[in-house]
Amino acid sequence: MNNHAASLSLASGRIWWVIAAAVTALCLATLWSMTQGEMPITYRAALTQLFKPENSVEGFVIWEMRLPRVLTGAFAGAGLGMAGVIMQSISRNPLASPSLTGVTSGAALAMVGGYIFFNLSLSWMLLAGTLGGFAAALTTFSIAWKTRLDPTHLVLAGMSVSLFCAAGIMTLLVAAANEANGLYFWLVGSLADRTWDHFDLLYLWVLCGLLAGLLCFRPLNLLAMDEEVCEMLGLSTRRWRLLLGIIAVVLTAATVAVAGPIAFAGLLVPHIVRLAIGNGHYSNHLTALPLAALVGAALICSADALAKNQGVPVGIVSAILGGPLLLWLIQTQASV
Amino acid sequence: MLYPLTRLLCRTGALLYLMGLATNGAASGFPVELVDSRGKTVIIKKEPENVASIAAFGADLMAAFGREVVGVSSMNNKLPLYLQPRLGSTVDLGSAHETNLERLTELKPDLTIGLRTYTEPFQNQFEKIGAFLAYDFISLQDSLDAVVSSSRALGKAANGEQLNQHFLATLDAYQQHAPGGLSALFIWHWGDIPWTYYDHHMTVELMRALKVDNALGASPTPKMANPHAAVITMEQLLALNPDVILSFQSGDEPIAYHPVWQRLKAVKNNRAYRVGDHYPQVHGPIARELVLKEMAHIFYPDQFSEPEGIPDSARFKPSQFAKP
Repeated sequence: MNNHAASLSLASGRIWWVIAAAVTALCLATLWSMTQGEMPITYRAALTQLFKPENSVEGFVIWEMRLPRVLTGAFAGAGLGMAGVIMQSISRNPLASPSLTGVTSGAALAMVGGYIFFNLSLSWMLLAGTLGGFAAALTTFSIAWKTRLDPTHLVLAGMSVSLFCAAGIMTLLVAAANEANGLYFWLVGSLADRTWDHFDLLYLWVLCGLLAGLLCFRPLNLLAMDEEVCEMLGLSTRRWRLLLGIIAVVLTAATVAVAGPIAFAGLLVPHIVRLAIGNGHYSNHLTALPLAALVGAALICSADALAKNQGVPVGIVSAILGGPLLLWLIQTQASV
Repeated sequence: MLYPLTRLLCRTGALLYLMGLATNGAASGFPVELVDSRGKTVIIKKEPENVASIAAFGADLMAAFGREVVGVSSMNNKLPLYLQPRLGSTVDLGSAHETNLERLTELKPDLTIGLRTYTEPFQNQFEKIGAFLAYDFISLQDSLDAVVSSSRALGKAANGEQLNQHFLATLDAYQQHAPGGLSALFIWHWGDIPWTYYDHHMTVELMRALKVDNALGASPTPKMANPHAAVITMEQLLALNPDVILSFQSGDEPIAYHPVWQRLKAVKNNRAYRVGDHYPQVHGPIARELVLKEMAHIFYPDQFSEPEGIPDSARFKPSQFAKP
């Protein structure tokens, strides 16, 4: 009994350490991003402009350029982090990510189509991307519905839809009448030049998704168990997988529309959280879900600060750092 | 008696024939041996009749000589707009980086002039179709070299030299009358991503010759011709804040919305302009003169009048910005 209490205390201590580390990283990345850029702004001036904005170029840069970029990154990271945990739980697959549902490719296809055929304005483009993500994900769910959203079939259906959308994107890019090269930056995943218009489209979806995800922590805990046990406990696995999958899509679709498909974020964050707090606490989604959102926000903001410093899209930094980090995490977990 | 006379006539005839050949050959100067930007020696055996161009340059040079190319590459599915009246029956060969080789083969050009970076991967195919010359088109020197070299290939070496001399004299005259004291950027929009040109791109070189500072400046790798342009963030644009902005955009849509645009000096003073496709394809003799004269008017409207001879579709106009 004493051992159990000690292990619980140790684990809860680790949770607080994770929270502290993520909040620190988030604050440092935010502060760094506020000072980094073409316009030299000191930390002091950045803090002054943040809390007491003036009608100056510095105030404009902080409030109209750097702050919306950081907030968009934080919300995108939070959404992708939580969506990653949900997808890995409902598919019982540690290699699952939000893009598994086809939402990423669907959003990308809609954005590329919107640009090439309709030359949509920013707001309509973002909306088109979000709706495209939903359409692709719903197609995946409807294909896998017949097999009770069995995890294997869900993965296969998601892959098929993603491949179909990827083929569509390539076809459109090749056949584009206009110069579509700018779209490659978005397709890599970028937070450069994001404005309040981008943030406005994103935050409501992410807030709703985060709240809905948290409210569904119990079914997520149960879905980690054996299928038959779930049925015996009266849990309709098919319905809950669908609902939770839709929550993951809500969290991802607008994120992809606003920031592009930022590779590895949704895949990596659940592994970081699992390694940090241990499998026991990770299986309690009331802990894992908000932690994943926090770690995701810190990860994307830090990656974007680095990307901004290097003048490359955040998707490139995320892929360069995320790949080796994921391999290391998998190896570490295997040896635990 | 007749035999020696016949022999004399035959000998005279043969001599005259040989002299004629020699004179003909000397006048046209063929065969011509050239070295293009690939460093490859190309021999043009006789004066080309059918010329194709995988870049606006070849069509531009031919138009300067009062001739028409059989085919030319397009940019965003449009043949060079600034050459439109001169491209009557010219066939569209597709995008420069993806030339329609079947269509080109069908046209049977005996000379194809191309942009090296895009045509090099397919150079063997081009060479099977006919003589092929590939040039770099980045700097003013590239333009001068390509005009001389291509003119020789067309049997008009002296005309090519004249074109260059005329242009350099015009440039000098414009430079002397340019008051200076301005900064500018030449931007190419790809989607909502703006790219800006460094000092060594020819359009920017002409801009600088007109005593206008390129706000972006020189490339960080000055010894390399590429990259000659770089992606620019909106924050960088705000930091550079030039007096004049020249934008090239493939479609007709307004510039993508971003709050920075309205804070720029050039936009506030109505000095942000959309320019035609001759600005990025500036290396031909017609394009370079149009760009020089039009830019001089854009920068200094009081000193330089608007040039004539630019089709309306290619003429500069004020930039339009999308609404949020």
